[in-house]
Amino acid sequence: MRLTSLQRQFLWPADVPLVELRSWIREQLAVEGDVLRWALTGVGFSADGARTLHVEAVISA
Amino acid sequence: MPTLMLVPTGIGCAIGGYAGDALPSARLLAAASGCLITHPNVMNGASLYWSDSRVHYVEGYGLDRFAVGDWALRPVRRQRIGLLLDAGIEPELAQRQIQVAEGCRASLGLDIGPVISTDAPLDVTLERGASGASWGRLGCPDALLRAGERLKQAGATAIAVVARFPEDPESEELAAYRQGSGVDALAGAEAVISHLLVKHLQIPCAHAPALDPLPLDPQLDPRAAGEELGYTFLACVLVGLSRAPDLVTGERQPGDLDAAQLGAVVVPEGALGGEALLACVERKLPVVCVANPSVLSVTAEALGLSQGVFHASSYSEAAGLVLALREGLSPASLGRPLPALQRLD
Repeated sequence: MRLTSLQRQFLWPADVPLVELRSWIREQLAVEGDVLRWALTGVGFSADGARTLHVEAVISA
Repeated sequence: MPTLMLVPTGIGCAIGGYAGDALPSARLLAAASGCLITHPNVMNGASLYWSDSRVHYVEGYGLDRFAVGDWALRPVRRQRIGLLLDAGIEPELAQRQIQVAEGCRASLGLDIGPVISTDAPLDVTLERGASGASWGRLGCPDALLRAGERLKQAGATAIAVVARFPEDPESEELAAYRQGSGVDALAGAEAVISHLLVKHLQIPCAHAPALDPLPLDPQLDPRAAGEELGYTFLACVLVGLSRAPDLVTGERQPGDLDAAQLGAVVVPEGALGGEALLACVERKLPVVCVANPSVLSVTAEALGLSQGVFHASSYSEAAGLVLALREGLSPASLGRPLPALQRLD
């Protein structure tokens, strides 16, 4: 097993409500490996006004 | 009213970012709620600890799975705690850990054993995320899991793990932490270690770092003092695990605690981005956001969360809100002016 630290920024899709955000973030991280620990560590805005999500995680592969 | 108290690890919370310094707040919330589920970062003060039958000590990975609804919690009278030592710990420092275990058996009556050392050093490295939160990794996670499996096979129902952590007594980061203004650099890696074990074994686990004693600091912040009273950080972990609830991944029994029973969640106002909190939002649980500054700013406002959010300027106020919710009182009725009735067109 190998552990890897990740920092990712995603655009928060307008059609993903807050109550689905947890599952949506997990889906984005799952493509990188088995998620061990993660957190949404920031919410911001891109230049065009879209909301951005800053996520930090540790995954195993 | 089962209540979840979260103070995320390694984000420098003014209350709870140090050595068990959210413990008084946890005790108050336990009294207000009658049943508090919280994690080792809140309860562990190295040589300092407090045992309260109303507080359920649940490691972060298990806490997330509980909040999501995957796992339940089953209260127990006692756990048999296996002690897992990193092979990277020097012999004298390892002996200090064993003496703490012996002391907890003799003086507190805890059921501890067996003891195992990993078959290779765990090789812990510390990291810092862009947010400022502490993270970390293990170079040899398989050695950790192998040792954990052997302890479980030998009858341990919970595991206290002690890993050798890198240290730099001269670092500015450590000096800031000891003087009450920094992030706990070890906390993120500690969480990774305990998450790995709990995910793999599905039994209660918690971690204490092995470190050499630090030179005396006359300016030591009281919140960090718990970590400088002894040679180890292990006593609080053993006490916490001794009555930690079982993690139930299969069929539920009467008396099990399930996320559906939760009545509220209490969280620092800038730390709403963790999995457990987001799962509580999915359940439409009341969220009590406490003024407790950290390096994060994931607030209710940033998430667009307004329904069911209650702001508290302190944990005392949060306890009042929890008590009101427990009694079925509308928190809005406790302040003035009374908000206008909503009228539907």
